Amino acid sequence: MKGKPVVVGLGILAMSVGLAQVKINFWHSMGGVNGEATEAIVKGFNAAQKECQVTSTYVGSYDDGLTKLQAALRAKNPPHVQQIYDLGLQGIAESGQVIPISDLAKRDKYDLSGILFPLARYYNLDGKYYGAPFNASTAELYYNVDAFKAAGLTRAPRTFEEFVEYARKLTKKDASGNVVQYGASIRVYGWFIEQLIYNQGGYVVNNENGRTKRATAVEYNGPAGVRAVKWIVDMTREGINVNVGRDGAAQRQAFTSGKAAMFIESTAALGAVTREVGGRFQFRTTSLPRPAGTKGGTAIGGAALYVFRGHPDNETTCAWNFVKYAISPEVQFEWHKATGYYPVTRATLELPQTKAYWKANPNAKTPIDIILSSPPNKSSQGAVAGVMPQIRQHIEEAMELAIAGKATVEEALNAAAAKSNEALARYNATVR
Amino acid sequence: MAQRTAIPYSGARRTRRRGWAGVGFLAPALLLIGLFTVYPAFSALWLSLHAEAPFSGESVWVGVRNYEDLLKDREFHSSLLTTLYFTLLTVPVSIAGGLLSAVLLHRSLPGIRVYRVLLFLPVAVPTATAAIAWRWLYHPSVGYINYALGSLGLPPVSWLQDPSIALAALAMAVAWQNLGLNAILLLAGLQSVPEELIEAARLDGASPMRIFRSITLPLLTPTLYFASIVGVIHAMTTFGPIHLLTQGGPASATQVAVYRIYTEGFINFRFGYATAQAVILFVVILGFTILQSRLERRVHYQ
Repeated sequence: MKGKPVVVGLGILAMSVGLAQVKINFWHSMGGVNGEATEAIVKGFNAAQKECQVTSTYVGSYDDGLTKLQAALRAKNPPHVQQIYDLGLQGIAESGQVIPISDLAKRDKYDLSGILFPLARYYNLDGKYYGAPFNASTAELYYNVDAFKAAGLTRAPRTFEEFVEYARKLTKKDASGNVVQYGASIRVYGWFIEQLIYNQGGYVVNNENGRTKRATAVEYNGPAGVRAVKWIVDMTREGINVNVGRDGAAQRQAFTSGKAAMFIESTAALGAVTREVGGRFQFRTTSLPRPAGTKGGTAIGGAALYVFRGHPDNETTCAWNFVKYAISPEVQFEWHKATGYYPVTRATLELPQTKAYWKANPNAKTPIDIILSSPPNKSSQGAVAGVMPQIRQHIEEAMELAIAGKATVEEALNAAAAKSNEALARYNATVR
Repeated sequence: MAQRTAIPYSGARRTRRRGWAGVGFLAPALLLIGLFTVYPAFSALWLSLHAEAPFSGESVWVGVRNYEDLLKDREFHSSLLTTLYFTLLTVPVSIAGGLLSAVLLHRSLPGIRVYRVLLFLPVAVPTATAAIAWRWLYHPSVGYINYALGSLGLPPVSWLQDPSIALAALAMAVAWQNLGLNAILLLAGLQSVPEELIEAARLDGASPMRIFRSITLPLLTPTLYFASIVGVIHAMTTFGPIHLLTQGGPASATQVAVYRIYTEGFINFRFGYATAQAVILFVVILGFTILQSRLERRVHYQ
């Protein structure tokens, strides 16, 4: 019987520790190298203080994460913090399920003005941040410097026309007519078309990308979208761009194995590309090309951290502290170095270690150069609409129809736009 | 049948009591089936009568509106048709291939067990692993199949990128994986064909083809029947390989009903509409199974 008071004492101690320590859940969609970097941030936060402990869960892809969120919301048990991709912005903001980051910042006078301008523009809706940008990317062009040298090319292509010329020069066939090296590998991906539209100053949806008023129709079937899709479709049909379908890994593999000399991808793929190339050839990154005579710039990609309603105050405070930690300068620098996502605040860009890192790794600085040179207009601010994931699918179907020669680019895009408009109208009707 | 009529009337009471005991023994199974099969099926039916705003966490009753919309939804109709084509491509190939392999394996050769294991191996490979392997085999520029074609002087084929080829390429990958199971089932069937029947036919001077057609095949019909029912249901609900290889593309060429349901539910977040499609698919599969059971009359049970 001697042991009993000890056990009871331990129990009380455990309970009191449990009371003092706030525990919150954080759901993220970072796998592989990026997942390890995310876990490092969580560990760093938990080690830095005792009163607030974060439990992180990998919830699969961004889409899988949203599915799990739907289920959790039905059960009235959302996570405290979730990482949600760019496209989720309007749907999440209008759901009324999150506490806007701007409101949380106002409470303790935290200054959000240090967030990079392009990110601030994208994530601001009605003058408010609903989520805090955490991992930021954009689209860029990767090119094989050795292949360029062999073809007598000394710099990256800047226009669509120049790119086609380059791709022809870079496409090599063997004696029996089989292609041994393609000029490019650009996959069927709606996000690329969006970025190529912004790069010409165009809009994906009406009302200036849904930024002046709620979007009611798509505009990706306009001249800018047609030019972008035609550019890819024509090169594919000519045989200078290898058709890898929608497969991102197959696209990257074509480049990293030396089978294709140029490709377009998110800046966040830098780590994977570097590892797969393994020093077998030199490669560089630069901004996307655009049709001669057009002007514009790409928009941001990536994801933001959202804080959900329905939790006790002390847990919400803990969640907000974690978000502040995740976007703090030193943490963002380590994150940038490990992943290829660019830092979200100006303070990180000013750190001496950031500057030293860029000097040694020029490819890592490209995304910042691209995004900071984007013109401050509603085109490169990026489109916002509740059904962006569907719009992306419709664009992809149109590209596939055109590549297969079953429709012209204009016909395919117009048919896709009709479907998108229907989905948009349906979504807008559900928002009260 | 014979047993039931043999029970004398006076024993009915005892039978009923025994019946309750039976229910008791069945209870765990009934509970599990009820919980994990019947309840979800009915709640899906219930959900299909609702619509929801994304991320609201709430559903609104809309009655049969989802079903009315489905009548006009061309994409859903074409996805049902694609499902049918996909089934017609996979099931015959995997059963015919399985039958051929079973006949070839039904003999005593040194090392025959090794061959049997090799043939069954694809069944044991996880779908995801198999799909990734197929992705590299089919890769347009660095894939093995196009490499082989190239060394024969043939032009490369866009297996998964050409809308007129993708469904067939996908069906072959799935049929390959199902073939082993059919081969093992049919091999077991072959081994249960009485040796003396074949012996007698041979003594009467029947050719091997004739023996196969008139004795072996009729005696295999129960196994073939089973394999076709399972094969059709499996083909009509294939998801993994499609998700990993083509995601319903190119240009909706591999957009089968199950993939359409997934997209509607988990990308577009229209759960009510997606479950209405699932209910329709259930009815279609049920219809096929009933159709097949009509054919069962021609099955020869020993």
